[in-house]
Order: sequence, then C-alpha cells, then structure tokens
Amino acid sequence: MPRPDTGNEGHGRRKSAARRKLIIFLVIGAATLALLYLAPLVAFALKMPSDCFEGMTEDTSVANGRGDVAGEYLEACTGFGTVVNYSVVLRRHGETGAITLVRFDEPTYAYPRLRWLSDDALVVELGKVNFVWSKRNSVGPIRISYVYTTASWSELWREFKESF
Amino acid sequence: MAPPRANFQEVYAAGERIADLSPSQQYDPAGAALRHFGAYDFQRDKATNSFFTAYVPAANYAVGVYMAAAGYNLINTHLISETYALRNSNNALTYSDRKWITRGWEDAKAGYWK
Repeated sequence: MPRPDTGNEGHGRRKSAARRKLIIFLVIGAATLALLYLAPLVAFALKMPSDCFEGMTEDTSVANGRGDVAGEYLEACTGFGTVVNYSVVLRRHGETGAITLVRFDEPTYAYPRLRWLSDDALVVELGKVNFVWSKRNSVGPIRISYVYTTASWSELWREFKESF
Repeated sequence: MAPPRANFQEVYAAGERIADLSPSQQYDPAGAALRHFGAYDFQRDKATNSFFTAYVPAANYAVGVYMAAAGYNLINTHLISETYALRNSNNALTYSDRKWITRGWEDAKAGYWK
C-alpha cells in the first residue's frame, strides 16, 4: 500500500544531502590540513642529499678453497639519519658481480659469522635478527645453511614502542 | 659509542642556528650538517673514506640533537627521518636507529648539550 506523502521525505533527503556535503567538506578540509602540515616535512626529507656507501665488510668475508668469497654486505645511506641495508653476498671465483644470499634487519653485535664447511657448503650465522628475507639455499653447487633466531612479535612491538 | 671527534654541543649549536629560518632555508644547512661526510656524519672518516657501523647510533643521535635544537618536535623529526628512510631503504629505519634519534632529541631537550 503506498505511503502518503507527509513532506518529511523531502526534508529527510535534504538533511542527508546536507550531511553528505558536510562530511565531504570535513574530509577535504582534513586532507588539506594534513597536506599543509606534512608537505614541509616531506620536502625536508626529500631535499636531504643522499649518498650511500656500499661494500662487503672485510672482517666478515671468508673464502673457500676455490676462491669463492662470502661476506656481509652493507648499503648505508646517510642524509637525515642513516639507514643501513644488511645482507650477505657471495662472489664466485672469476666473477665480478655478487649474488645476494640473504637480507636481514637489525643484526646482533659480532654477527653475521660465516664459515665454509667445504668448498660447496657455507654456513651463515645471523644471530638474533628482526626480519629475514630473500633467502637463497643454493648457488650452483654451493649449499647454504642458515643459523638464526627471529624476534617474536611481542618483542618487536615492545622495541617499536620503546623507540619513540 | 661515539667517535672522539663527536661534539654534541657543536651539533646543538648548529641546530640552533637554523631555528629561526623558514623551512625552505633550513634544507641546505641541515643537509650540509647531516649528510654523507657532512659535519656531523660521525660514522664516516673522510680522510680514510671509511665507514664504521659502530658509530651509526652516534650519527643518528646527532640527528635528534640537531632537530631538537632547530625547534622540531619529536613527531616531526620522526616523520622526516621515516620519509627519508623509506626513500632510501628497502625497510624503514631499524628500531635502534629510531631509538637513537629519540634519545638524542630527548637529551637535547633536557639541556644536556646546551
């Protein structure tokens, strides 16, 4: 049965349209304020000259009998603070490029430690790390094994909170 | 651990010098102070072109001291450092990097380096 038009529907439609306009206005206003606030800070970060140091750290590198060399590889970029990307790489004898074996974050003091069990078996000890990714278990005939523990989510969360 | 040449009072004084400048005028002096081989890049030795991972905390601590002296609050300091990190790294700042920036900022605000 059709409802009688009481005039309230038109009023309700106008009210909800006004509410929609207010929400859009508030969202755009908030976004504009956030942009105005963040723009100089982002510009600050982007204007910082950034140069990176890259290289294998000599004190961790180890060679096997064939002349393949494995070692920790650092990429440290400095501009506003320093960010360091940590990895372990393998440079095979006679080759110029290095192959990334593993990337990790937040190394433990005195790690990584690397050792060759034989010419075809490498052990990479990372100690306790926060994250590990891009892990390769073999390169040609060389088998790579890893020894490490990762921080639990509760430890990561506690560290995160303490860092601010 | 900081290298013998680290002088955080000098870092603080340098930060204070940019405090009254507009943001766009701050970029160059801040870059010269904090950049790779900059005045307060404590983890590198320009003479020998060496990098010392043990001094990374000192360099990040200096960032906190500098920004506190320049009048930036801690949230803005972290916003800048995280933006920088995301631009230059496949991960954000590590917790210890962030922690040392915070510690430098807090110590500077507490008046240790005036």
